[in-house]
Amino acid sequence: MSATYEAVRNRAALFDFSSESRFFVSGEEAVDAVNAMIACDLEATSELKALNTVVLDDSGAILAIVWVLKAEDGVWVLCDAERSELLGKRLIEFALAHNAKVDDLSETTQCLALIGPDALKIAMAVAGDDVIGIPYLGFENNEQTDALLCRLGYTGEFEFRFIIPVEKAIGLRSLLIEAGAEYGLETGDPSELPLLMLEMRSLSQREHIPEGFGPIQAGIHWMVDFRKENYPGRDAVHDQKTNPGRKAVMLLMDVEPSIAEDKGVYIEQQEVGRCVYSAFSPTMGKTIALAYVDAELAWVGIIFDVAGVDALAVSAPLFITKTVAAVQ
Amino acid sequence: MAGMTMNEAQSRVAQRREITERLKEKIIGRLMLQLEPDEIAEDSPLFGSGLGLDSVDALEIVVTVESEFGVSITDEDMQAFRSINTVVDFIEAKLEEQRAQEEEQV
Repeated sequence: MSATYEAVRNRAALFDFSSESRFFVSGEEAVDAVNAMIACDLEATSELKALNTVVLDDSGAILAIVWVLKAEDGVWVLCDAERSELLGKRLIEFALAHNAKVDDLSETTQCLALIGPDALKIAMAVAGDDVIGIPYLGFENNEQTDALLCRLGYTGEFEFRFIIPVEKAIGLRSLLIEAGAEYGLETGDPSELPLLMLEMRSLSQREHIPEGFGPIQAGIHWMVDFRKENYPGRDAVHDQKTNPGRKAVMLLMDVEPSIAEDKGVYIEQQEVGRCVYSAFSPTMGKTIALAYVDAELAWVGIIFDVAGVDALAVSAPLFITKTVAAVQ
Repeated sequence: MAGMTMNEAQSRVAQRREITERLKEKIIGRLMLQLEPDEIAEDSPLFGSGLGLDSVDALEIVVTVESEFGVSITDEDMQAFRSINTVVDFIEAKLEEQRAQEEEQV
């Protein structure tokens, strides 16, 4: 078990997400501009709340998974670094069609994230006791740290992201490390996140979603508001509901992860799907894999053949995290 | 050869689909969700970023599962209420338990 995995599931780890992209859209029609681009409804979202949604192309394929934060003075849009150029262009296109302006703040801000069951205590020690009042998907301008403090997350654990001007980031990092010492805070390795995410059935676009696939195939329906009328890819997404082709399923296997990597998924020697990701889950004590399988067979309880080994389709999230257990 | 046969797989799908679709329809009706059954991914978290339900909704789902599927739910069982799929796992396990008990009595 890696130090990052162990820390995230039992204590806390400090990640540097500064390489991810951070755009800020301002102006009278900032909300309209962003809303026209995404698959969820930003109009219906309260201020100081975040949405986890998708930007689609006209065929319904996912261009980017984004966090959208509706602030009082504009809208933050966060995405993976590799989607930055594409998302930036899209944002400018939609801003030009509205009375809005886009600033890329990826170079002038940094993003530090505390993740783990003890992340709340460490965040409170640094950013004040009021942090406890930030709801999931909420955020605030935190006066104590001068950061935009967001409670987001994909791992089933507490996750607090601090978006902070570059010149203040080193100071904040020191404070977090100092406060985290008594909780055994580790430096987080971002390459461990896809496993931590998949255990909770959150998906990393880079690791878990093949190019050209849409939200229905990936099983991330909650990133779409099906009642929303107008956004790129809307009609295609509604068509995919009845005819998704292949759908994502989580598989559990008793073999080394490398055995399942990029392997076909079979029933009676007929290929019915393909594995796109596999890793050893220390909590489950087994290899977990994500496969895209013919929709009529993408059901829990089916035992597939992957590389000559049984691969059982299972339900997710795979387990209750310490954070969730403590809250319950 | 590993895995199921196609016939076994299809039979398993039919059994799982029946419970899953029934559960989705009942939850949508009970909670008056503005969703169609095929707009809910079976692995969508019920709470938080998924369906965004709250603790009151959780109790409604418990009542729905108890009345619709004839199973009883204890506080410890609430751990199963993470997604549609984990609730269906729970229902299947309970129904299997009941079937085994009935067979024992016969």
